[in-house]
Amino acid sequence: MIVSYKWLQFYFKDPLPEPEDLVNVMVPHSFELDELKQVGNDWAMDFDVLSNRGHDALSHFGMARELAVIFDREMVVPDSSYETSDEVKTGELLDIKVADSKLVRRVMKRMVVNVKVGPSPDWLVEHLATIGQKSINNVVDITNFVMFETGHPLHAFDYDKLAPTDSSGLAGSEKKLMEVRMSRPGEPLRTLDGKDLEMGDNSLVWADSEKALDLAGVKGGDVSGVDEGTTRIVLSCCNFEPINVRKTRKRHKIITDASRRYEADLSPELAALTVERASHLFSEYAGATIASDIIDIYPEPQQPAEARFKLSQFNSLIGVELSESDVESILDRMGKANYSWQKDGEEYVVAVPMERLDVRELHEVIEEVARFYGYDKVTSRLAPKEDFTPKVHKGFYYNSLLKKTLVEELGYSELYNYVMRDRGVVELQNSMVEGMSFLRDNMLDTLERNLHDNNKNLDVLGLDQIRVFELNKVFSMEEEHWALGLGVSSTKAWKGESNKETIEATIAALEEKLGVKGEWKIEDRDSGVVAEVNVEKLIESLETPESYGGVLSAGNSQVKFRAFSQYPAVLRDIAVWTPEGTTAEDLLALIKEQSGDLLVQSRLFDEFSKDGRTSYAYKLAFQSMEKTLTDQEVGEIMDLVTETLNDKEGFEVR
Amino acid sequence: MQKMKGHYHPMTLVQNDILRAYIELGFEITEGPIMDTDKSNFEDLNMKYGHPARDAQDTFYIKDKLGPDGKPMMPRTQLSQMQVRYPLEHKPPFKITYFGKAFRNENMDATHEAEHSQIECMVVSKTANLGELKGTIEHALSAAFGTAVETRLRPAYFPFVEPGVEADMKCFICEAEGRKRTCPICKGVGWREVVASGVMNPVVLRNGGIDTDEWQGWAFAIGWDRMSLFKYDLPDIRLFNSGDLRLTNQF
Repeated sequence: MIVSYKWLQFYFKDPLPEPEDLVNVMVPHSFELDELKQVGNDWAMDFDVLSNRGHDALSHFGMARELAVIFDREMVVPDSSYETSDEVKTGELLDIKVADSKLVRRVMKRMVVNVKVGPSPDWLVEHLATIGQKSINNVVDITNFVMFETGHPLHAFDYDKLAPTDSSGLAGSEKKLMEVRMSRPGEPLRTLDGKDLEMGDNSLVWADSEKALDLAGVKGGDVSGVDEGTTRIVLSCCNFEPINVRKTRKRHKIITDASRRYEADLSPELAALTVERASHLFSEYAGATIASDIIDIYPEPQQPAEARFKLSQFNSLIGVELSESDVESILDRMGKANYSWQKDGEEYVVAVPMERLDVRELHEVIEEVARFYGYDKVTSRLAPKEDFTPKVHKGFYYNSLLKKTLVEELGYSELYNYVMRDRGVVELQNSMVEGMSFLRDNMLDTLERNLHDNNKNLDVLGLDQIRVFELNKVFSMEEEHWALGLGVSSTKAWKGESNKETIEATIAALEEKLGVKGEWKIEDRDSGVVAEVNVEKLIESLETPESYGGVLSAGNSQVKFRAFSQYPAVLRDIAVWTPEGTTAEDLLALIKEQSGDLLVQSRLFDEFSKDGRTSYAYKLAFQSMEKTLTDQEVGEIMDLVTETLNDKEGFEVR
Repeated sequence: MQKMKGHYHPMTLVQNDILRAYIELGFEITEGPIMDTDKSNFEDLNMKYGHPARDAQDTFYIKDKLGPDGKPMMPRTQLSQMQVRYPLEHKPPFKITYFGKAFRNENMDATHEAEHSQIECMVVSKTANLGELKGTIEHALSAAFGTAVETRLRPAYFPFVEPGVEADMKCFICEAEGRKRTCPICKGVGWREVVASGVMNPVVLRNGGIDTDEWQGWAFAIGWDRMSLFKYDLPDIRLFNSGDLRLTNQF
């Protein structure tokens, strides 16, 4: 919900705090801020109004009420005065039918005539511009403005575009029929912005005696829209049931400011206020004559609601020790947002404003008081010791033990992967995420892909063998279980055990650590050897230990991630004779000095001494973050390195 | 076997820092299933069919797999299933923590994951209150970041808690070095949202068979992947699940 700072000021006599200060107060008490930005001479404050506050706070009134309570300031009630004309009677011009009062909980209609469609006053254009709404003409702008003010949508139909009443109706009279009913299959309906809708038999529409006029609660129709020639309008302000609005807008894939508000569920009481404000503005800024009567079909008026709480309950749930007078002063402040309260024995009985459909239960009213008290005043503490003895989680204990053994004893690196993938047994029927329509059913495929991908980076990683594992879930239709996947691959330069031998030695070491044998699957794949075991089965016969002991990795690494390049690395070997006493590290430091950031990995692969000199051979990997390096670029670096080393006493590049 | 140096995944390091802190505070580690029923994932958590909060949690549904409630099963959309599952089998008081993946059917980018990782905890006792919730959040975040972390609570809405709050952590980097737009934690705002939390909604406690005249509770979920992202200054959240040694081997 984008809020205009100047618009809010309209409801307060004294100047509001500066926009940034105002936002800093609003965020901890009311709503998160998505953005604060300057628009012309005004500020747009984009607050994130969550679904429980859509009833009241998708509106400037709602925002102003929050401020009134937070700052304990009286709101200035905006002008709703206007003159009506006894010459114009809505009841003589309109006949209203409501097919289903469950879906349409209130209908208010009023005739507004002698309308002069034209430009809006500057303040109105500016206010709308701040919140990202384009000015169209005074009539459309007023309906827009009032919706963003009260939070309740309203619509203006061009009366003269409604069909004359059919012969079964009121022949001879000018009275026209408007009914709110379910759509008829195939009936045409074009929206205000020119989109033709495919109508079934289940979308609520306003219609005249011949045709559908709009998609009720969602979008106005083209056929009855206001234009420059409009002189008579039907001001229409209805309360629609939220779930049906949601289904309708989903069916037609249209989301509007109106549907968003109806979906949040609105108090039907807001409709009356909305009609009053619109009538005032039409009279003032469209030179209109307002009918003296309003057709108001409201079979089940909303009943006043109250919520109750005790001071002791408040203090206990929030963790504070407020006195009666503390709480009462907050309740008094809430009076600025139309709350009122009285005491019934130990209980505070809080009369809830009509628009606050979200405040009924104990916890809800306590939240309301706590917000205005201020969460910043709640003191942090830890939960006291309870009469509760936590058990060790067997699965987590052994998972951690396996990880620790693999990483700290067996030289494995841990990988995380998506459990969703493009193949499997468990299918997700509506996945919108590419390549992720299944939950994986094995670890072998995952680990093989990991080997395949990481094999490309061995030079950058500076490794001739990789040992990787993942410990996470795999799925079948009947069950899910924790599985351990292992993967080993090596380059030709690797001089140690083969991939298979490494995996077998790993499994033996893990089984020895646990003291059980498992059912392992081992497969020799293109990218290396992979293995998998069902960890839950593996540990089935094991005891649960008394404590976690030292099984959790001792972490708290303060390392910061270094970005890696998406471009290929270029390799060069260098062998250098060095004078007596030079270490491999000394040489590497000299190489690094000359080659700069592009040298990303170095590996010593040969070393021997003769006649008091030592030769070291390094494999160097060069890589840029910005581009693929050319042979020439790397050649220049190598030339520089060679030159610099050869210039040094006792060094000689071989 | 030839000796090599192994590495933990950075999220495992963060996870264990947090869990160690919880274990010291007397929490029990527990877990729930990923494949969950409509009842356990939604209904029991005060999100009946048609509840708008369900829309906010774009749900994957599993083909041809119905729960005992006759409704399609799904990979869980949050970890809060345990807020009812655990009490149904254990009497209060208790302190529990559980972690793992939760699934949202949405397109992924550098800051949006379809497979979220979360660590949640829950306390039910006679005194469980918002002050304890705030203190425990700060304790857990401090353990994870290895430095004292301050938080601010903001009103928020989740159907299973009331009052619902989000916790922003005060950016300790900006505190020390001045605000910068490039700050990995807060982008210069000074605060960063990391926790969704609240006092347990009595409706949810009662669904777990708890007498709400006697017991009250709180719960909070840490965005485990998001927090790891801030801690280690990663440019893209998807890197964690990419199976890439160029990430793991830096830690």
